[in-house]
Amino acid sequence: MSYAAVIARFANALNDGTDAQVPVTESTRNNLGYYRGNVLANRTSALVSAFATVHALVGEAYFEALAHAYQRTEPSVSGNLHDDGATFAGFIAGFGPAQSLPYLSDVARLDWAVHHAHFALDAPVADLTPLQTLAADAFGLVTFSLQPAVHIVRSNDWPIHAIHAMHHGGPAANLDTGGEAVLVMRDSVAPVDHASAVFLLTLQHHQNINTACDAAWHIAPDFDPGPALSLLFSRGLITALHLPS
Amino acid sequence: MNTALTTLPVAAGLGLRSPHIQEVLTTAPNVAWWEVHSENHFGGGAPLAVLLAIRERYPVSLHGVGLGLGSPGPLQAAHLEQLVALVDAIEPASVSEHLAWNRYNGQCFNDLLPVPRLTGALAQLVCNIDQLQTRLKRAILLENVSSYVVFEQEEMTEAELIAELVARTGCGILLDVNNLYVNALNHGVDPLDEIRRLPLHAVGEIHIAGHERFDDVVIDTHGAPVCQDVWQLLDDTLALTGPRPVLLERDTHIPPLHELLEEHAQVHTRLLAASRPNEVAA
Amino acid sequence: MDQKQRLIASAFAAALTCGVALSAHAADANANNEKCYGVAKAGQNDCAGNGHACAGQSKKDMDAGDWKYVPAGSCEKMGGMTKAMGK
Repeated sequence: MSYAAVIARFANALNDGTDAQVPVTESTRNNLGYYRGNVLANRTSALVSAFATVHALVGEAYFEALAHAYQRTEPSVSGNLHDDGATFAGFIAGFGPAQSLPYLSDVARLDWAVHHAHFALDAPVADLTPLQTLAADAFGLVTFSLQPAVHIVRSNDWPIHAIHAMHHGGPAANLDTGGEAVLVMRDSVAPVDHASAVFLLTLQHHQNINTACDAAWHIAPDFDPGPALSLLFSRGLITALHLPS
Repeated sequence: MNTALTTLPVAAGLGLRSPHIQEVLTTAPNVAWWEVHSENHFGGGAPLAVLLAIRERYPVSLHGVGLGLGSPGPLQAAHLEQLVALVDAIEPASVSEHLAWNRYNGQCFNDLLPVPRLTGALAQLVCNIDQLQTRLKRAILLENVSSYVVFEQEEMTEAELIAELVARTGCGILLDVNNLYVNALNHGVDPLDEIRRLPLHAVGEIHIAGHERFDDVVIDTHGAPVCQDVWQLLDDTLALTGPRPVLLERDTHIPPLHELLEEHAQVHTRLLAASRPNEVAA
Repeated sequence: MDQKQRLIASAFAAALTCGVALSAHAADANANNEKCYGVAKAGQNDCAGNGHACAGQSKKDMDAGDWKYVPAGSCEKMGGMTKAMGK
């Protein structure tokens, strides 16, 4: 049997337990289960770390079962375990037994953003001084590039920031307070109102200030871009400016 | 020792794990060099910053666990590029990877899976090691792994495969004494026979660690102190290779740093003994 | 300048007073990543790195059977799920 064929059979055995097809000695065939168990346990352990809030919300046994169910449908695609879980929130949203915790998927999206932000690439902070000499009516045409660590996570229905904060020393979250949006930065988070979240998301997609304000005003006519801009400027979240020519 | 393979000091190193990083930076313990798992420091932020801070004070070895050199097909480009970026940033004294596979048909299996030692595997490994070394512009050390299965109809021993890879790619060897010992217990491989089959000049680093016995197999958990037999095997290995950089690893049941430092001091003692072969070891 | 442009311009001017001061120190901010030591995450690849570190869980069959698990964590502090389900 060729090397590639042996690997193929080994891979199948790891996925579905067809150990009999793997050309190993009879006395060691039973040990294939150790590899199957290791792969499962290694990924589960990585998911526990990446989805700390989800893990705390549901507890050990439930999370482990959830992680195992996830792995049955979503193969790992990276040799780096820190990359595992990009589709976990989506999986939870469609997973029948998890429907009793309808906020869990949105919390998982926030966990993933926090995890991703921790490992995101470093980028130098842009020099903002060119903005000082810009004509006032040109501000609306400015576009930004934001830090790779920046994520904006919105939940329409659930107080995801309060739920996150509850696991970092905050009080118990009240599920009836409605949806929240969160600006995720490197190793920190800040709650933002929904209009600011839309404003920031639009900027992140390299649309200019005018477009971002229009999107925010569409959902909140009294939106003020000041607080969100202050966050971007004061937290060093802008890596490049693109001024109107 | 071939210094083109590694510039690690010929001294005792220690595996650096996240619970100890802060303490190491604060107390600067007397450890000759540190080894980390490369993937844990991919990207930016704190993972990279802490490693840069360690690197300012100590030689660093980057030990990869996820490239899967023995997988069929080319290396994962994103993984390779992240490793290249880390090597560029850290300028490590040594870069190593495992003789293992972890990918098939687009799917990853996050473990160090044993490579069936067949001609096709040799060709694939040569190709992948060449690609890695070309991209890194330096030689790597390749580590032997522990295995819980024995493939039928293998064409060579692990040492013979490694010797061939050294000859064809110019890579070096990271000789894991504990893995050889685990394979000896599980499969009856004679560790010293295997070591004698290796081109010993290419051994750039030695690993020791603890393992645990389960019902029907010995598992290389790195979760226990080094046992007496493995210490003895280290002594025997050093007698064959001469003094080499030796790393103590612990990955599970991680004890307080001071406990690891005590075990690490034993590595230092063994190395001293090995460098004075005419004296009786203490 | 219309009303919207005036609002944008004044928001910019206010935000810039702190932002430009910061960008002058941008290089320092990048160099100060070391302050993040305390938040270094556990290195998940350690487990895989040595292959078999999680072997304590080995040979556990993948249980594809009935879902028999009940959430038993901090979700209980949020007053259960019944009320929330009404949304």
